[in-house]
Amino acid sequence: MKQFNLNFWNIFTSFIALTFSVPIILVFLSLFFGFNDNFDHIVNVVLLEYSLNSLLLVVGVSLIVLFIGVISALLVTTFRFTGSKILEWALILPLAIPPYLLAYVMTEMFEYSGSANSIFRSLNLISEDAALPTIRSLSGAIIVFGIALYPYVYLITRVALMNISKPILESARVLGSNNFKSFTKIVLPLIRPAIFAGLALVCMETLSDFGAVQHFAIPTFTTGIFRTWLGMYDLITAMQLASILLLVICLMIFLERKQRANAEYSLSNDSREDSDLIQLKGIKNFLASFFCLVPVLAGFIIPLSEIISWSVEITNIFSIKFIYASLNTMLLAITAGIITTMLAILFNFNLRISKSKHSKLINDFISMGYGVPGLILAIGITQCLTYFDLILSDIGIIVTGSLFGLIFAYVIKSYALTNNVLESNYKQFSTSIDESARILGASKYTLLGNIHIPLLKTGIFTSVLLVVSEVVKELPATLILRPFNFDTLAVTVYTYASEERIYEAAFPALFIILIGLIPIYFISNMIRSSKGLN
Amino acid sequence: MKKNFLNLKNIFYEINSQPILKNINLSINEGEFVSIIGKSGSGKTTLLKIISGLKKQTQGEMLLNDEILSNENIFLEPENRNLGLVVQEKVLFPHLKVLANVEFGISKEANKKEKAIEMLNKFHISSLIEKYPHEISGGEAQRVALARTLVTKPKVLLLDEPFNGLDEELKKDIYPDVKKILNDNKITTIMVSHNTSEVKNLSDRIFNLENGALKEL
Repeated sequence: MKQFNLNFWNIFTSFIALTFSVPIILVFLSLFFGFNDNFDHIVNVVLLEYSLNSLLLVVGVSLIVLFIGVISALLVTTFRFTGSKILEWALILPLAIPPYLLAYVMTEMFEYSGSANSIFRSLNLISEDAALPTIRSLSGAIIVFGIALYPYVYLITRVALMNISKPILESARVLGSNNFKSFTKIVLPLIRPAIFAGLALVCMETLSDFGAVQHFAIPTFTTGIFRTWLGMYDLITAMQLASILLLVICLMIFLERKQRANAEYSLSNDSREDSDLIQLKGIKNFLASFFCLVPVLAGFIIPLSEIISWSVEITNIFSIKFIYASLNTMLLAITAGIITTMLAILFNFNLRISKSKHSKLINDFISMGYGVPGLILAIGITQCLTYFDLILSDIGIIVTGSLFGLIFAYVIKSYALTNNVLESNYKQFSTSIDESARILGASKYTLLGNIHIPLLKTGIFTSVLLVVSEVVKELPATLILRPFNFDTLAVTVYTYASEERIYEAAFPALFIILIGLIPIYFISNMIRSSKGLN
Repeated sequence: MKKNFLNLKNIFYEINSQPILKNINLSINEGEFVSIIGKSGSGKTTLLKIISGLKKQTQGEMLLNDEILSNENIFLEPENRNLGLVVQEKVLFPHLKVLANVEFGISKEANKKEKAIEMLNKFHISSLIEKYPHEISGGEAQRVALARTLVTKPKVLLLDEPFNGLDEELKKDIYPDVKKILNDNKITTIMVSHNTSEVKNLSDRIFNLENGALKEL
């Protein structure tokens, strides 16, 4: 690795990194503005409740995602059972439904007259005047988050299991280990970093969520921040609360990155093949299929069927509101996708040609934006834009309340996605191609435009699509930063759910799920191709 | 020295009705070093995996010291055969240090550590005990793999091109160590390789595996 050089590329990347970090720095700076009465009130009255609820939520969700994610990953990578070929990719499907959407669906289903109660009554499992326990509770939220987020743990654990070298497992057996010892002494320690990396992601998502906990009326850190800002109109105290949450999230990001790095040491090219799977029979076969089917049913098939059943009730399918929201969403998503992808190309290109430690550090640093909760990002960006408009107060309010802030938030949140795609695409072609081009007289710009970009074509397309799917689902930052009267699909669903007009949310929700399936297609392909390569 | 210590009788193996091994008969005396050479894909590794129990033959019987390892009705699991297998791939457990790797196969004995260090000493690598597999060289890793297997005192040692990928200088260093330890402990060994000079250096008898059949050279 080379040392830092003062040239255009390094100055440009440093400037972008600084711009990315300004909103976060502003949030942390609030800790030095002094603490007012509102903060004292929050600390004395509600902070304990916020902390306790957030903690219980994280612990409960962690237990559920570990239980479902790890066991299902073990089952599909070790055994062959009825439906296992379909279930191995179907287990990822709940990722297409964001937690807030699942929360709205589950709430409606478990209402007194909801479909869950109706089915139970028709099967005489409960009496006509009885109802199932309400889902709008802390335990309900834990279940909803668990079902929505277990695919993170499932995916990472499954890939780690697939990558355990077959000769290593064979060595353990020949050295006298039975299946149990091989599992506890070899498999489990090897997949542990991957499990923890997945778990850290789940904790981050749970702590960052706003839509689901707000709908369930559970006072957590995010709802507290929202209430302090837009209820008490105290941005500074909201930022101070956000700083505390951000510190916890930073710890999660650190743990996730550290565990992911540890997980890499077990990668192998001699991973297990389909022929190594053990065929299950009888009751074991049934139990394995049942265990893997339940989360797919609960996290995808049932909610999707429920939303489709709502859409049948709606007469005006393509309302003006829906059309506008769809157009707005696509405009934002594609713009953010293009900008983020362009930035990722420039950063990765600079990293490839400069090979400098500094560029690598900057790239890693700005990739951490994915972990910053949308709500906190929105607060930081709002503050940042307000300062900017204050400086230009003679001209008028230019950026506050414009699409600029919203796109800025999306770019920060989704940079890691595009970076991962382009980084792995860049690794697929050798640096000797660059050297040949340079020797033949190509400038850096020609190298980028005429050689790299055509070679990265598929990666660029994938990257834009992934950002689009991420932006379409995003709720808290959109809710806060959107211009007045500018609705997106996520905001439309949120508004309908808040106004108890959930049936009207059916089409925007279906559209969100449909676009949410894009990354699932790519993830499935990626896993399939890595299996094929091995 | 016991005659016919390991006995393979009429071993057949096929995948999807495609024969890989046909009527393999092999008798090895205790302490003998036998090598099997053959082209890539001739079934050498498959034969070792069948002996170790990682694969089951389609037909035939295998006996070790007159005890049945595997036939039509009996199949002893690999962990219960007390055989050693060293392959060319990286098979050290990446999350365990060198010492823990070598201790892994020693079953509940009090002086596990001493035994592991003693074996590492024989391969002149006791200085590596605190290192992880990714911190040592390929040659060192292969010595650790051999030490890990030999410390379990296997009845038969199976070597699947264990020196493949090591440079000639390194091989010259390792051969005497391996030969001495095998001779001292009278360990019966079967090695598969495609390197004839390596085979000549170490073996008492050499077989060629071609078209699924064994022929003594």
